[in-house]
Amino acid sequence: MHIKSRTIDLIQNASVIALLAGVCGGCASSETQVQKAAKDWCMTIRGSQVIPVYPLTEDIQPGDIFLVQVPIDQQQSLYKLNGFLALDNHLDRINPTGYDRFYDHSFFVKGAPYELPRNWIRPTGTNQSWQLAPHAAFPSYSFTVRNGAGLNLAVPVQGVPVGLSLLASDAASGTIEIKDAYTMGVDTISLYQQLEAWAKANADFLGCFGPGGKQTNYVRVVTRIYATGKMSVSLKDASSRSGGLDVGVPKPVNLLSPALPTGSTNTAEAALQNYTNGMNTLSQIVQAAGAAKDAAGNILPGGSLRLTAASARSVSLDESFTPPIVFGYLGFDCAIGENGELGAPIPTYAVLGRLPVQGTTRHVASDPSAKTLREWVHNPKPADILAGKTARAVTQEHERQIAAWIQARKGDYNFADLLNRADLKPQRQQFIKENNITQ
Amino acid sequence: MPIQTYSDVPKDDVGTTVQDYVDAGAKKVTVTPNDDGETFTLVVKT
Repeated sequence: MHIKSRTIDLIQNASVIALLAGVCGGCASSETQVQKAAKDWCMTIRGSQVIPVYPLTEDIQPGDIFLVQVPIDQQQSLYKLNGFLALDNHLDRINPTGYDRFYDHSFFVKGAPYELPRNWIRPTGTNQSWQLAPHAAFPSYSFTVRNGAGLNLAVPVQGVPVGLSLLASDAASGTIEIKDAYTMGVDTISLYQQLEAWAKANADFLGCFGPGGKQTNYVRVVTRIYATGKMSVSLKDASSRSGGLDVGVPKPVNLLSPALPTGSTNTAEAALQNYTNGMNTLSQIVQAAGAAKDAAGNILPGGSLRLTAASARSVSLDESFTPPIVFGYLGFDCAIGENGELGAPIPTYAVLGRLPVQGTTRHVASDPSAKTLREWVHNPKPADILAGKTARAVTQEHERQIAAWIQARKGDYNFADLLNRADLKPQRQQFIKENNITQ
Repeated sequence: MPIQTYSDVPKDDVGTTVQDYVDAGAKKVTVTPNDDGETFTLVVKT
């Protein structure tokens, strides 16, 4: 008896110490935990080749222009570190004119006037937000969570922490499914043309962000957004417990397996009644958790939670967002040049992921023939610079010589391509041979 | 507005290569350093 009391004392002391450590740790590193939650969630979304929006918002649309003042190499580091890029410098919002041409042969009803994005996001006279927009589908994502670092989970939906508290578990594995997903976008070409007109009108402003030293600034333009109306979270208790001792309050999902009443003659009916009562109680707990209120009693923004299934070691919840909220986007970046002039559009995802643009990427040749030819054009030997001529004139003469050689062979490339493209090595070697060019 | 991306331009060659495209009539050439610090990517708009 004495030994048992001492054991319980030890466990209780350990629990108090653990609780204090958790609370203090949580206070000291709450910023870190929020950052971790942001990163984990964003890594999940990035798996679907979409750039995550964090925090989730309704107020981001195709045509939104942001100023990016972080160099690309640092952007990549920040993207890897935080999982997302802050969209904090919202310069302007272009109203894309390309929607009609983009959707008139598919998602627009013929003859009906459409004004996007309003008619899809908030259709007049209905509450069918986003229902008319093209649907999208995403795979389900698996994750594991631990309760040790406080209850900041890796997803900005309430379902995970609520589910974990229902399981009263210190570890769980689960899946999250993005349901009721929609998308809306516009083509890059029409948006880029609008952006160029916008840049001309705002050249004075953009000129302030022209290249300086090693820093290049960019404008980022959103071309497509993804929104979701529902997320489903399933959690399975992954903790391992040794039998024998139960301390603290029973976990809520134990409501589903209470002891049968003694002396009952209809066991099946009693079990069903117990389960129904338990499920109703759980649903009330979940709804109370979903209706978080601030100090003034206002319901905080977010989704509403519905319990869809529960057992002693698993729980499934649906979280609805009405209206749907944007969780990811695609876009392109343009470097800001001298006098506010914009560079060519580069897909943001390609910039951040360092993925080559399929079908348009060519490698610059670094083989000896390329070096020799580039040297021959740009740094002519003194012997080649005849009296009365400048080095630049000789360079231009060599360029014309190459261009004429290509034309004679009806090549579908220009002289710069012959100097630089890796795939034109045989032609380059042929030219060098025919013209007796030496390094 | 054809856009062409050229990757892996050696550091000591990037100025020369940009000049090639400018001479060939490129409207804009965007130069971006790669992670390795040794090579660059050019986006050429013609």
